[in-house]
Amino acid sequence: LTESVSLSLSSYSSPAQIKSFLDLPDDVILAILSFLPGEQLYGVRWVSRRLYVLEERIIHPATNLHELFITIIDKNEQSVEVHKIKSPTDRSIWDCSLEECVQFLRMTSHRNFAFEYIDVTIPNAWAAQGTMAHQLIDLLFHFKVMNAVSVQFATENLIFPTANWTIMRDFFHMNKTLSNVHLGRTTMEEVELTYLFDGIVRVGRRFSVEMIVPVKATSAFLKSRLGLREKEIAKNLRKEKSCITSSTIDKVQIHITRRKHKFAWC
Amino acid sequence: FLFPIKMTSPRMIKLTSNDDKTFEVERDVIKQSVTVNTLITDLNMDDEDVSVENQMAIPLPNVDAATLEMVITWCKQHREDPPRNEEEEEKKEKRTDDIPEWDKTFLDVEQSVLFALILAANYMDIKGLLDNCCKTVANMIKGKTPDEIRKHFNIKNDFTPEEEEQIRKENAWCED
Repeated sequence: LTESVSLSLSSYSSPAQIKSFLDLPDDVILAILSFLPGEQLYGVRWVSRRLYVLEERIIHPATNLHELFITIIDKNEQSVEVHKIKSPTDRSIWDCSLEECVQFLRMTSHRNFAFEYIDVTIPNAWAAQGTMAHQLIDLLFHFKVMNAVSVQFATENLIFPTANWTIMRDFFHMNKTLSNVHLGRTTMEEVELTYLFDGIVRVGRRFSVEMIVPVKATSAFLKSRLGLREKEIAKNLRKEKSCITSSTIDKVQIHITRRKHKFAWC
Repeated sequence: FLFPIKMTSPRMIKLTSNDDKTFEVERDVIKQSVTVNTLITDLNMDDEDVSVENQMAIPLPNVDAATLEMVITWCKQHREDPPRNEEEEEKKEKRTDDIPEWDKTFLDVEQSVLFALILAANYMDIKGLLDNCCKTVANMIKGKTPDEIRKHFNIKNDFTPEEEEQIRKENAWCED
């Protein structure tokens, strides 16, 4: 019996003399870090390589949700859309260039951030920005935005290049946790609509989609894609010609609200 | 008629530390250790016919006598605590200002003692003790800069200047 007890216990790690905090096993350090407020956690990663790695592990989508608000402002400083900041406290706001915004998203993607709520407000000038704007869209669809429960694109006219609709279709298809997508009033061609609705229909969920529909897109097409009744289509969609302005994006505002979740936020 | 009343003394369990010191502890007290509790059940050690003298001691190769004594003291103090519902605990907001006064005093020890206690609580799977120890360490970290944390815990900064710069850049986004 003694032998069997010894055997049962031998599966645990061997005794160790603990002289330093860093001698503690990973799971214990993680348990300690889990009691720290978010801001302090970011400080802890600076202490040593090991804590850097452990802190990376603790920033997990399920436990540390953020809200991301991106406002792209055109060069005329035209204020675009209203932002609903869910928690006015603990808010970080930066004004940055679109390049910096893309860089930021890459960084957050790498750092395994997660956003509970994504609000992207874009002016009329989407198409004029070329590659960088496309990169921004690609990033939004590819990285941890995937974990968001709600995505909102609010803009006068949201023009996506056709290629991005492939990404968007995949985005809808892959993101099973999305509860709401609001596309704002979106101008798109039929091929784009096809991509979008294929994605939505595959997920099998109803999204709030308000669009400016180009003349080409008929209600018959929408009906077949969405399975909506004529009345609903008439109610939700307006037929207008697409409208693209020539102004260029000047700066980007990023708002991040860290969500109080599993960690203590003091 | 008078029936003889069987006086039942509390069931005792023997635990042996890694430095060969044996402790007798009430079954009800040590049940807070999931590891020990599971062993007692799995090995049918709850047999009432076996006297404590004839009972084998459970070896705890990862816990020294001084630490085991502290663990037992903690378990005795918390023997009346309601059983923990881990699911509920998971849902609770993580906070560090709810350590009971008795525990605060009990855990006001040298860092090496506290770490040994953490290891023992982790090994013996005593969630309440582990939580309060972790909270105590978290309180030591709170409000300190990375440099102050290094000093407090005697941790060497092993980042290269380039790595430090990289982290600084990344954190610029996260700071208010």
